[in-house]
Amino acid sequence: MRGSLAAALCLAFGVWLLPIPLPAHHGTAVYDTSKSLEMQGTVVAFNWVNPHASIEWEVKTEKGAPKHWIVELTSPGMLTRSGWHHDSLKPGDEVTIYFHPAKSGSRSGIFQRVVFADGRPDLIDPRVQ
Amino acid sequence: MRSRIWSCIVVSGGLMAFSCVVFAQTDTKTAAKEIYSGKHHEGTVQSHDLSGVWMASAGFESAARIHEAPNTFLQPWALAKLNAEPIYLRKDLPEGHAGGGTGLGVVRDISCSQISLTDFIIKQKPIEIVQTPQRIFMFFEYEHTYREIWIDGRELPKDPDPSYFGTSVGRWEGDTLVVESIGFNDKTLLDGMPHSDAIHLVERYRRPDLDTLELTLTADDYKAYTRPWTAGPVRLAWHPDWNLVEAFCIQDDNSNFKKLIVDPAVGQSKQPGSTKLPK
Repeated sequence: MRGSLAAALCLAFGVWLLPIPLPAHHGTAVYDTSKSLEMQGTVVAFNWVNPHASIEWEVKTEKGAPKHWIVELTSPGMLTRSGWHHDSLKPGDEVTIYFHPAKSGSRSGIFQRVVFADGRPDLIDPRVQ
Repeated sequence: MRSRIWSCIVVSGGLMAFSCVVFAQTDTKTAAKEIYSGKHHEGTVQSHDLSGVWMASAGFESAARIHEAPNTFLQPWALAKLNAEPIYLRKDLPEGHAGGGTGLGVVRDISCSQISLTDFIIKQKPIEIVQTPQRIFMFFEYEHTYREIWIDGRELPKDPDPSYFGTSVGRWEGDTLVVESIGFNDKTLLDGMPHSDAIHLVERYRRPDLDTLELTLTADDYKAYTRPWTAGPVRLAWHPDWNLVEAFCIQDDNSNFKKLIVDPAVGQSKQPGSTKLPK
């Protein structure tokens, strides 16, 4: 019990220490950071490239074909230092993705968190909370 | 009974020996990691040691902004060149890049051709400083490249070949590393300012505490300025547990990123499709 409490405190302290760097290549002005959307769907691609990684996924609709969404993350380097890997998401993964949407209304945004349907631990972007 | 006692002694001795081996290995690994990361400072700031991984802290954009207004030191041709720059690249304007503005959707914003020594140091990309008796190396994660600063007492060369990062020598003045650089080409912006191949850049690095590196900048250029400009202090934070990774700027990747993310986000193209980035 005491060990669990200590571990929880360590984890909380570690999360508090996580850096929240700003984007290097461009600002986030085109995203509405006052809003957070969540979209459940199936991962199509996890693009592990500079300047920013991105996740593409398809969201089922009641009628018609699934809608394709895409969100940008920080750079692979910053993700690596936050515990991500190039295969942290794979095509076919069932996920719920939380993100700030683009102000333009397009099906894009800036990533906040992914929750896996299979129970894997959530992953967050160290850049945008 | 006697055999039980002997068994206990033997087992205990074995455990102690095993523990010593384990602890010795752990201590060696820990010590090596601490020395590599700079943790051997043990909470104190060692003089003349800037080694480790650093990255500019939040707020670096405003901290790095040049103190003087451009029209107070730029010669007419240089001011005209600055004014020809797109607003989003201007660091001297609040609505420009250093003021939190965005160049999203504009081709040049994600171009790989924007090489600037000061940006490589100041922007929020990790750098690693490695010191030898003769040279200090700055390794940049961005572009996976480096610059070197000679600290063996040599003077700046008289007529160096022009280059993007210039030629640098350094010396310690008390607790401050003073780095002087010349030999830049005229293709870059240094802290957002145009310059000629005559620019003389001075960087001053000071480590006020274990976790902080402070940088101030001064530059003079008799061909482009009427008087020097100054900037800083910019603060960089120490990251003892970080390693640099490869982060080349590849124009094809940038163009794909613009097509997939930037253009839809700013409403300059249709909804993102299922286009895959090249593997």
